[in-house]
Amino acid sequence: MEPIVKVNGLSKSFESSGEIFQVFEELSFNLAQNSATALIGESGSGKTTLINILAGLEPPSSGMVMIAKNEIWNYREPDRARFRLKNMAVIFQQYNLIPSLNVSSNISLHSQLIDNWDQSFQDELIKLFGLKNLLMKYPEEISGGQQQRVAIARSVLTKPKILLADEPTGNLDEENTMSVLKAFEMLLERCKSTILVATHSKSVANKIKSKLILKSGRAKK
Amino acid sequence: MKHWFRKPLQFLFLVMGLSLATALWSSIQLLNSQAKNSYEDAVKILTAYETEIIISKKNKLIPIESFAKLRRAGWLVTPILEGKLPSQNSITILGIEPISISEASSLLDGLFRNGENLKEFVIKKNIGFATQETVNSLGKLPLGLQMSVDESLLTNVLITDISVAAKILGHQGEITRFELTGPASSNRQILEKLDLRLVPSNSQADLEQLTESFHLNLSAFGLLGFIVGLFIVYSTLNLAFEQRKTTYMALRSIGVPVRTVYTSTLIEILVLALTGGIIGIFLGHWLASSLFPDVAATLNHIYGANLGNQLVLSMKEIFLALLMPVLGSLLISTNFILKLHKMAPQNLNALMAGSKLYDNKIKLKLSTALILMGLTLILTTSPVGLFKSFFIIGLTIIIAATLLPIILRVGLSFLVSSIKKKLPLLHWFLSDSVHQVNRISLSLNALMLAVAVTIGVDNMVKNFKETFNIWLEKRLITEVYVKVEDQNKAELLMNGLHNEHLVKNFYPITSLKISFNEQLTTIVGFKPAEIYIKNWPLVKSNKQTWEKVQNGKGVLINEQFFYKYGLGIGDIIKLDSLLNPEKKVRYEIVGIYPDYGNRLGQIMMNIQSFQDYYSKDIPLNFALEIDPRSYDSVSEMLLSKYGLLDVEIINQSTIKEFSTQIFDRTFAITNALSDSMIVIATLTILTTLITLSEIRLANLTPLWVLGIPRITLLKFELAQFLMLTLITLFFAIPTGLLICHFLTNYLNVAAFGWKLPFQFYPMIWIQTLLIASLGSLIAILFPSILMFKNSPALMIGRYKNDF
Repeated sequence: MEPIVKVNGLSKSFESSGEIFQVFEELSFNLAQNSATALIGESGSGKTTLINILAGLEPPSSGMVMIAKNEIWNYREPDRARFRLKNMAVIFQQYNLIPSLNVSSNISLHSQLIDNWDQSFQDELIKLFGLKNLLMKYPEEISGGQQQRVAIARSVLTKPKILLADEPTGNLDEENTMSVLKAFEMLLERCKSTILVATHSKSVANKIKSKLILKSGRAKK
Repeated sequence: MKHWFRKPLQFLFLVMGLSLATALWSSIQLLNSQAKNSYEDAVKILTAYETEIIISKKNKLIPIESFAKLRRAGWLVTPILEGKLPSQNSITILGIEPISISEASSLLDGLFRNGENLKEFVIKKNIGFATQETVNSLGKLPLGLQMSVDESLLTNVLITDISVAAKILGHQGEITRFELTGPASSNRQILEKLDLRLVPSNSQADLEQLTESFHLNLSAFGLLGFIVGLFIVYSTLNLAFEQRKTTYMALRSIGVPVRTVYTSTLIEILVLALTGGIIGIFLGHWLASSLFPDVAATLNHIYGANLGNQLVLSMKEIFLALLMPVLGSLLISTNFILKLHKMAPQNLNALMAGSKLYDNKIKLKLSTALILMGLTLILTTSPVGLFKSFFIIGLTIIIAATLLPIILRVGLSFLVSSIKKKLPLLHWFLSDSVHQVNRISLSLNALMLAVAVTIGVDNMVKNFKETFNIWLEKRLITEVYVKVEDQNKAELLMNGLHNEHLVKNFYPITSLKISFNEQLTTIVGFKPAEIYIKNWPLVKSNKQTWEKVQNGKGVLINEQFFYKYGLGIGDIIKLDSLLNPEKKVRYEIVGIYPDYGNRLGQIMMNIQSFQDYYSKDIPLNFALEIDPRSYDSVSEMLLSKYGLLDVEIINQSTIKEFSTQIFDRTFAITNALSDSMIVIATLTILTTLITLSEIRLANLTPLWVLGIPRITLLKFELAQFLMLTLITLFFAIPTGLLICHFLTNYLNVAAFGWKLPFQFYPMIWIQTLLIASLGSLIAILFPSILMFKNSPALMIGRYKNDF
């Protein structure tokens, strides 16, 4: 089957205080449709940067990123954003919840924007993540772990073609981590999604068969 | 302090906010105090003119010999020689006689504040007194005077001994006028003999009226400038604090003593406030200097006084100017420190206003607004004085400022709930707007107040101007007015005007002052002819008004009388008859007329009744109905045939033109100030949005990462600010009209004793709204575009340390 994500010769470097810092170099890998992959690497190996580049948020220094046959970095910013909106969901370490919306609206916003909102699926996710009592609260009124669960529910609810998750369980306990993995399984089964999960957690990584390891600026499957 | 080095643009705008607030406040203060000082000087000189003066009947110089003759006849007078310096036309030379002038302390006050100067005068005659500016203007003119600087004098006035002035002006043995230093003598024959006439003071009340109106305007703007300034300071500093609270909390978390955090915060705030304040003083001085020509022109036009061209900052003004940023900064820092103190370091998030916290505040604010509204209503039901009027206007401003964020928040929340799931982006847009209101409500309030006051004042001024013009048109019903000083001329006119073919009709007018309820009141006798019935402006009347005036049973009263005594149509007043002191004359009040520019209560009655009970003197005033084209011929006829002086003949169009000019000048400064205030309020929006841009970026990033293009977000951002600004501006209209209502119905009545008919001028609102909208649009565009131009780097910047 044709891979849904194709990465070829991807490099990223930063300039900081006059010095060039190479995050990774000549990364090449594919992600198959309806698969889950754990992105592993030590702190500073470039996991977040890679997620951002795949999401179309941060430009690569060189290389090609092809998602569902779309070379996203050839697009203009508005087109890239629209592509992301319709095809992807991203879970961030900082949760990126919208401060002016309550938990319920935060969860439904993305799926409503792409006209893909499913009330029963939302109820299912709310139950799965134990968010029922938090629905009317605002992000600043709930804890970091709760915010993370809201962010995950929002992303999963969109039934994305591609889900990019950056440390989705970083602030969660064992029980909630299991719920997250269950939600990912639901996506794989029901929506045939492709999931890339950047994680430090060995237990999470061990639950995912396919692994992409970032080490010394290189990727290894 | 390091925070500001990292964010120089924010620092720049913070200082700019503080500076603008100070500039606005200090410029108004400076103008007001300068105008007041100048006015006091002018009035003192004027008071000297206005006491009572004796001039030549033929408008010529008076031989100095008349001085001795008048003194011998019992007239306490002092001679004055006045003229323009031949070689320096802008400077007026005032020659005085130091011995006789010292009899009148009020005259002296007008000339010198320092009594020592007079002693110097007596000792050395060739001494001249003037301000430093005048001395500089005199340069090296060969006047042969030893100059002494006295800053209490008017600029461009040189005071010297009368003999020295006579030499300089080339009028040896002549003087311009005499000024009375004591009560007028009963010996009037000497005046006739010397071909002199006594000119009584009669226009002082009008002048005071205008100056009061002028200062009232400036004081109201000063008050508003202070409130708007405080809002600007509060708004700018509050945002700076919000951004730095994580740092404060971190410091507390690592064990830095609370006192150290608070002290350093206060010191930092004071340094910032003083920096902004000092820059603001310079800006304010510049602003005041640019507005000063209007003030100078106004006062010059009204009082004929030259105010010089320099604004000098006194220590008191500098102190007052710095008070605002320091006070505002201390207020906000105290508020912030109190907030910090209540919060445990781990509860940082709670510092951000959650909806529940805010709901409580809404209830509190709404209750406060309602209580204040109740208080205002109670205050308006009882008689309202000047202080109370200002207080009511102040309350209106506070109520409006309290209600605006509530209205915005409640209105937007209602919209949020009504469109909830159907349009997600619109739902977010409105929800975000509700939150945004919290952050920018102070800037919006500053804008709202500036626009409201501009609308209120402009509406009142326009209203006043139109009413004034209509009133002037109706009051000045005939083409020519004649005012003579002696009975002989009056008799000649009474008997002769009937036969003049150039005069279609003439209406004698007579008046005198009586005491009514122990207050000075003018009674006027006039002929209630058809021309009056058709034209005379009345604010209240009934069907029998003119009939009763004609038969002498009814009188008309002016608004000042009406408001002073609360007497209205149908009420009976009893006046003492001057011709028959035993008799009380009963009159029914049958009409009330507006009487702008007059302080005293006035009663108008049929001239027949006036002559029956008050004075049988021949009237000294005449209104002449003529063909306007024949004015020159009539004037010539009055001069030659009846021996009238130029000053005794008044052309209707000249009075109209003069009155209109005075009016325009009086309010020129008001217009300039209201425009400045709008500009400053829009700059506040600019500074707030620049300061806010980082927070906004953080708020919008989640939308961008979901997949909303930046250009769409930019459009939303612009639309949001425009929406909030437009709602604010529309809210300013009723607020402005309410201010206008209180200005016209309370402040004017309390200050001047007349009430203007309230009229709406939508064109003024539209014009003000357009100016404010344009200013706001520019203020909104700049930070929004700047923010989005830099946004990819800034948005991604959040992840930089986390690759």
